[in-house]
Amino acid sequence: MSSIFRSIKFNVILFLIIASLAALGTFIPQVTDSADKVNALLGHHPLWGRILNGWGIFDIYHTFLFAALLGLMAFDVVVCKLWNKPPDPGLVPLAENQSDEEDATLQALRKKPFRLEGLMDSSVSELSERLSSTLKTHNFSIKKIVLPAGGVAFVASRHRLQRWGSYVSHIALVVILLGAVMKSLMGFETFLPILEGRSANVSQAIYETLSEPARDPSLPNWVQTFDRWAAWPHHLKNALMRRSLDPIQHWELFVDKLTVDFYQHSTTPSTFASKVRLYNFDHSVADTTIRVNQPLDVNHVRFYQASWGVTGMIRGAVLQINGKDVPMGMKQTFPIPGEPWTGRLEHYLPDFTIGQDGQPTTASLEWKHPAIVIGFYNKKKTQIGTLVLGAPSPASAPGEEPWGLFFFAGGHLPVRPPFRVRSVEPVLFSGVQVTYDPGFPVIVTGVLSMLLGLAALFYLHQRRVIIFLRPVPNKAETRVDVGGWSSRGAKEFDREFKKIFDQWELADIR
Amino acid sequence: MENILFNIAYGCYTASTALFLAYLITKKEKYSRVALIILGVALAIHVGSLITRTVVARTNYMHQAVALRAEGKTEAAIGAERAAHSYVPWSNWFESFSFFGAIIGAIYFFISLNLPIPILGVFIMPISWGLLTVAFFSDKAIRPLMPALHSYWMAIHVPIMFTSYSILGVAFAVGIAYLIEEYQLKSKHPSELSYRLPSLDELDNLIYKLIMAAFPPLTLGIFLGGVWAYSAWGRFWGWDPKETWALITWFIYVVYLHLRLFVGWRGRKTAYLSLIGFCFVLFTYVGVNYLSPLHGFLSGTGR
Ligand code: HEM
Repeated sequence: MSSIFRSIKFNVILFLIIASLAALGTFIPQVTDSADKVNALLGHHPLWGRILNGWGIFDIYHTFLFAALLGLMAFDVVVCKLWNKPPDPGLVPLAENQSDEEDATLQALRKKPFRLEGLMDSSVSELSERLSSTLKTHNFSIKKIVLPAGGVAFVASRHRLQRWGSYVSHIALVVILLGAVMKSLMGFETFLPILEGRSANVSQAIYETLSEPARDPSLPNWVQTFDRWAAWPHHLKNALMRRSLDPIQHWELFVDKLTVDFYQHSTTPSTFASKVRLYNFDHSVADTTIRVNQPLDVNHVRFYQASWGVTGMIRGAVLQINGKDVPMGMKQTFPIPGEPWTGRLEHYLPDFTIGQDGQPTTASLEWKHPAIVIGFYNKKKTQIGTLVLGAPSPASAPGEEPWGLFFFAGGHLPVRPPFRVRSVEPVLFSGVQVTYDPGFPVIVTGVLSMLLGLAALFYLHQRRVIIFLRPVPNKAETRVDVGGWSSRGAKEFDREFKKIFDQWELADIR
Repeated sequence: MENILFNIAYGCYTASTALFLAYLITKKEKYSRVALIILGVALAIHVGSLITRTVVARTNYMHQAVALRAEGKTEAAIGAERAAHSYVPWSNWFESFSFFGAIIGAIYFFISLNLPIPILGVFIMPISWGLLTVAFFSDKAIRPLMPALHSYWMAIHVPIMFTSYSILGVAFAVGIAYLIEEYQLKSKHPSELSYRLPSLDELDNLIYKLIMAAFPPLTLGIFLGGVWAYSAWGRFWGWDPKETWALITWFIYVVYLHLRLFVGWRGRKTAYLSLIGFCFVLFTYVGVNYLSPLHGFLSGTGR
């Protein structure tokens, strides 16, 4: 059974399945980032939409199937790595004082790609000292073994770390997935659109997602028992989330002011920033400005300036009436010089368009074609007409004329109104993303270990040299047998091998 | 100024690529040597253009910042200052193609210094030149930097990704060389080209070494992207199309490594994988800009 999980083919297929599912999610709109598209789709195709939705197609990355495949991958890696020892250089390790082992090793040496054998005119002790110091200068770690039949053997290895590279980089994968699990069980991510001057409770929206699984007492008992059991991941998640949320349940975030600025002659904002205050009950926890790429961090709960937008509300506007600047607030009435009518500031439209009912409205909450709507009233306070006037856009340069289009509804206004919009002060909202991710340090640890493992695996070439030095009976000579092996980088090892044994003038064995 | 330098560099790249092709046709070593020297010159001028561009853009933002402070617009001034400190010459469509093409050229240049195989220039340089040509015909203006890009991660994450992508691009070129040579040898009518190319074994090994060199930076680059996302948007991973496709690309190369190292795939099959892998790289780099609302910096649809 475990052989399936350990087979690379199986894992390659698993990989490709995961990759295909992941790819699918980039072509099909996902509720996480295009909820409106998903809803439109569901509206257009009620039947298929519902079926696909039931399969989780619109939220692929959070389906059980996807999680299960990732889990299987982690399981596989563990099974595989528990079964397979790190690959050994292939030399029989020398056990001390075992002469048959010694023979086996000598046999193995003769098969290695890097070999030397011969006789030297020096004693074993002299040679072993020389050998030790050379190997040390080449950064080999050395094990010296006294041979029972006389003489010594050296096992010298370098970059032994490499064999752990594979272990570390695979286990790191499991660690990374663990970090992801921690985030989904204990962490949260929520988006708070807060109007300037208003505030929002940080944890409320997340609490609302922690529903209890529904219970149906009309079901047979055993089904209910089963349901209770099946709900344990849900309960675990809820319990863990409560632990994360309870300490912050009274946090209230105030946005005092949102500033948006634009580059000169451009509609690209150069910056947007919110002056925020965070309160826990009635005492202040933080009071600062957050910007894109400059979040506020309070006990690992982080507040990001994610977006901003207009609201359709304004604090006030300045109208120019007959050459005179008149500041006014929303819904405020003003006289029209020389006419019996009065005007009233009715609405602010950030993206003016004409709706299906023929009335002025806004196409979006984006600052595209800002306009204000003025209503005209007769003495009986009955509305007799509507005027839409282009307002300056926040991206337009000071002094620049707003677009001039105006539009009447009601239509029988006798005069061309003698005013224009000088400036408006819209109320903005600040989009604050609040996140808590206890898995982040785990993921960082995982990835860093993976990189270390990869570096060891790819850039270190494990090599091993075994040297036998045995006295030749009745002579002042030593018989030398050397075998070497490298996991990769044969050329490099060749050079190193030659360097180590450069000075050794071996005579042929007679 | 910076655009003039770029245009000159582009001219040199074009000349270098043309000379490599001339070398392919005429078989005169001389051409390949001159091509390599011109490539070196092109790279030097290109670096000059990148530096000039950076200085121009940063100075420009700094002037804006000073003016805005004088007007009392503190937040706007801070924004411009942050733009001045974080501008790097790979922040839009033109710049990133230009940078990508240059790094492929540079990698080939440095490979050639250590391992002179002039015939590989015939396969690699057209890729570099193609990318630079896209840049050449793009809008070269220095566009305002959106706030999400006001970050030092821009200077770290992006070059690492491009380095890795470029090495994979070189592996792609060698993969093509491999397939052509293999085809010619099989058809028993090897042309002269096959004799100038290294042996199939050597090419296969070179592809493998390139992918092995590219894989850790690919891993690191994706990871640093996540760290940036964490510091800008508060999440490490959000299954945004760009992130997803980077992961898929990574998977493809993981598969390559496993098949080559442990299933013993060699030669044609792995050469094909190196081609497929780079197609994924290109899709992640270009195609995804049209799928992603967050990473659409290049196509101008980014937030
Ligand atoms: C970080 C990227 C990865 C690298 C560099 C890598 C590298 C390796 C290496 C060097 C081996 C063989 C050495 C050994 O058996 O210990 C191996 C085997 C294997 N890897 Fe990976 N791997 C990576 C990712 C993965 C992933 C994501 C999976 C998940 C399915 C996986 C599953 C396996 C399996 C099942 C084996 C076979 C074990 C065996 O039979 O020996 N690897 N990989």
